[in-house]
Amino acid sequence: MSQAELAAALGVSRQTVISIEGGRYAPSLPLAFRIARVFVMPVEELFEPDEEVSE
Amino acid sequence: MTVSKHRRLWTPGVAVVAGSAIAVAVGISQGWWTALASELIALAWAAGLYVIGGRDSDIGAAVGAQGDERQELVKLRAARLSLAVVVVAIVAGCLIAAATRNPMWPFQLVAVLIGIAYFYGLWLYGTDREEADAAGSHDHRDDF
Repeated sequence: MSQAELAAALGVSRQTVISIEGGRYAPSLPLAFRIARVFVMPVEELFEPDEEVSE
Repeated sequence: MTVSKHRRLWTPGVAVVAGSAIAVAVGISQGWWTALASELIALAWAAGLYVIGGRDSDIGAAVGAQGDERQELVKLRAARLSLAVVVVAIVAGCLIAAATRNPMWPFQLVAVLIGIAYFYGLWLYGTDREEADAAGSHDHRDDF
């Protein structure tokens, strides 16, 4: 799945997908759950609670 | 993220309205040829904003009045930065006006309006209002 396709599936911009992938932006809870739904994975497997992000 | 046409028109529309109002004021005081030049500058500015608003970028999302949650955050931070610059410019304007014995009330007026808007924003978006409403309607309890 390309970044553009993932962005369209999540209803966010491509730049936001790039920022999340790069660890520069921590998504809101609703967006994190949407990402988990797209990848059919529990949200805690996608995001580590102690992961350090700048935002 | 694609920007819808109606939302993309919002920022250029504001630029046209504000620019036209300024052009009318210029026309009254300095003549209508100067006003026409002022209006043309406003229209060119609005056209530029419309073009930028269509870009697939954070700047495009901000100018196109449409963005996701991260872009809204970026926009808020940019607004905070620009407000800080405005406050510094107001202080500088007051200093220059005072030093050159010119009226500084326009700067003071803007400063007062910004101050009122800031505290109104804190009241509007913070929880103080909800707490005051809750305290007014029934006894406030901190214990669970």
